[in-house]
Amino acid sequence: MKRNLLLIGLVLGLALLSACGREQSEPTPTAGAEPTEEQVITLEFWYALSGKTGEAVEALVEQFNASHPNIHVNATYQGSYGEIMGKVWNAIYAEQTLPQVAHLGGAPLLGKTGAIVPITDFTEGANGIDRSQIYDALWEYNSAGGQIWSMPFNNSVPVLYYNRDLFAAAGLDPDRPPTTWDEVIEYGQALTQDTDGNGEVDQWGFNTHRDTHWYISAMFLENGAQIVNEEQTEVLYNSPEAVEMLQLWGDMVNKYQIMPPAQHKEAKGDFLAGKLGMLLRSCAGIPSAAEEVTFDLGVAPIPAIAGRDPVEPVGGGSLVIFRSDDQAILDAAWEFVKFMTSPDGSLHLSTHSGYVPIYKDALEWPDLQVYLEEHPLQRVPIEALQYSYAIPVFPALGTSDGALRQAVEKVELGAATPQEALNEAKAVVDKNIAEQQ
Amino acid sequence: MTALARQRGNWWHRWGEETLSAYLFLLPSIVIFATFVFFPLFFSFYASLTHWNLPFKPSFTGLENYHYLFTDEIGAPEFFRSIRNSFYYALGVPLNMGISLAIAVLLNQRLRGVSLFRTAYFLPTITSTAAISVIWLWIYHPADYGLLNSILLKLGFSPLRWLRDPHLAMPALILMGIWHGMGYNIVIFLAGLQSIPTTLYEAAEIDGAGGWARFWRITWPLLGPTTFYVLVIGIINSLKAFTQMHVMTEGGPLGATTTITYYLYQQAFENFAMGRASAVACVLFVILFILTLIQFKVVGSRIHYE
Repeated sequence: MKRNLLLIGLVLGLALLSACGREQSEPTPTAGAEPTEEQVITLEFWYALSGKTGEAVEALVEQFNASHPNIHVNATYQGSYGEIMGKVWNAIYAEQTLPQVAHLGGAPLLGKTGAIVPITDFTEGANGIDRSQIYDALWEYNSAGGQIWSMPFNNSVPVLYYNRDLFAAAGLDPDRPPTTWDEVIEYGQALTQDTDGNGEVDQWGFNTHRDTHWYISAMFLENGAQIVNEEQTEVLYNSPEAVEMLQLWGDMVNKYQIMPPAQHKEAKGDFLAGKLGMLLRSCAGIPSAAEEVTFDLGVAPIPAIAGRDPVEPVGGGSLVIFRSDDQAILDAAWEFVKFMTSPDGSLHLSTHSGYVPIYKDALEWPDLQVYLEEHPLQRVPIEALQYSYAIPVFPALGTSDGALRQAVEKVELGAATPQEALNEAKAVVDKNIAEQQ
Repeated sequence: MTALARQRGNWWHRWGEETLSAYLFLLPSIVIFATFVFFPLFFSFYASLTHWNLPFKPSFTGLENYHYLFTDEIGAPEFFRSIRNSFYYALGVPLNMGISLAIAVLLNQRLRGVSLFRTAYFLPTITSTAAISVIWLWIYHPADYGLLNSILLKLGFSPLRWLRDPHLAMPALILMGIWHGMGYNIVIFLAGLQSIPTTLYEAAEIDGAGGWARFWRITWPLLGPTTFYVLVIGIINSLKAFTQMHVMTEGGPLGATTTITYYLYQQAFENFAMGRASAVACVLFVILFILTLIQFKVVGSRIHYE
């Protein structure tokens, strides 16, 4: 009996040990070309878009697989940009298997790790592309340290969503949305109302989505402020131009009272429910908003300072190609990236999501013109791309975003003056920059 | 040769066979524990002694991360605030226990539909914190059409800004935490209540003890081990709370709900400072460890185990 127990235990233990061992020693599943008759190269592709946009990505991958018999792409959804970046960093640090291609936010930050191949190695190669067809700001968005690292794929800019019904009810012309911040305040005051007369405002004029750092950065840039110095050793958030814009933001809350304090998390819901006149938010949400709302939806470019051009800071994700010793894999990976970001790929993505096409001549594409006739709201961000601008990519961006959101919150709640709030934000970010290696 | 062999045989008989098979049977769980508990534990202690900003590799820096947390001009105030916030949140535990015990005592009566009530109180507990947080975002909506605010208005009070008010955000989270955690406590208390022999109550009744006297002289002391358990688990859980801060307040407004765990998250996933985040985790571990020791020493000695 005892001997049997011992045996069972031994077998169990051994099985477990061998199971552990196998996991480690298993060859990297897809890194190599699998020697089949047709010499099919398998690529792993991690992407970060879900819902309808995710479906658009999957459809593109299927199109690619169908039209490229020698290459097979395994696309797997790996969670948000942050989650994918975490997995990629983990894999780099632990020297585990990386995919061949990934879809990332903040992609150029990977340049320093040596894990990715600069995308210019491919765009300038024999099978290259004409980079001048794509917006300059998008290339800058994919650059760090003077090098373009990644390929623009799905990009968005902030736009002003507005409720045309509320505009009309407040005596405003729905066909003339505000173009300047002065008009935002003027319109906002007309839209901010206590509709049930109980002494509390229940319809606000203006608000922004929760990523306030994006919108305040746009306002800084519109006023000529710089985000970071040339050497990227310090942020320039406490310049007079920046302070002035945060003052304006604070005034919209506390002086003109067209925006509720610290209510950005609720802003999207408020807008969709018809309780908010104007909402500053990424254009990526246009199709879903158009589907959800029960009122007449309007979209306008981001407001500007009177007499100046607006600034549309680009956001979104990019495609990167990881290093490989096998040139055939790199070539296949580039073939895939080139397909995904080609005018056809860009057309497919922008007609199945709220992302903008990345090509300068997109508005002349007949297929896009047909689509925009039925979806006129999506024309606005595409036209706004003439004002597109890339916020410089520097390693403390995550800290910077958080510090800016806190600065905005402090001013909205009256816990600090704009100057104090931005001095504090700068101190936090500069310290983080100094800590980077 | 023979002496040695006998010795070996004895050793094998006395100790070897049974112990070895015991360890072999334990092996699977030891492997799992080692991989998912002990390894991360020791690894994060090691990581706390390094300067490790992703995507770069860690480099050993000794106690620098702890130095930052306890003395730095920017770091220390934030870190101490996060500890204060965590203990503020833990204030909900005794409150929760009081309410749970009262309800458990009520549910322990022979009432009609008592199982329906038991289910109702337990439902929030088995719902995920993330889902509950989203629902309570609507309840706590700061405008006057928020659910709670519209009730306040109907009752003639003025609306509050709840999660968007730096002074109210934490109490609001505590309130939700009580509602969420109550079911678990009630079940534990109920089990404790039902293990108290009814003969004691009958004897007390014959001696003329009233309801209060029966509760304080019989129920409360005999419920000691249960109360102790609920207290320890409750405090540990509330110091570990994270999801509601992540979903509902993102640590704000003005850092009022940045608890230790949320501060850890910010260090790790906003600043990508893994070494510093690990140092925060180690401090949290020490706090929990000391708390548990104190609870066992102070409270544990006063408990009547049957």
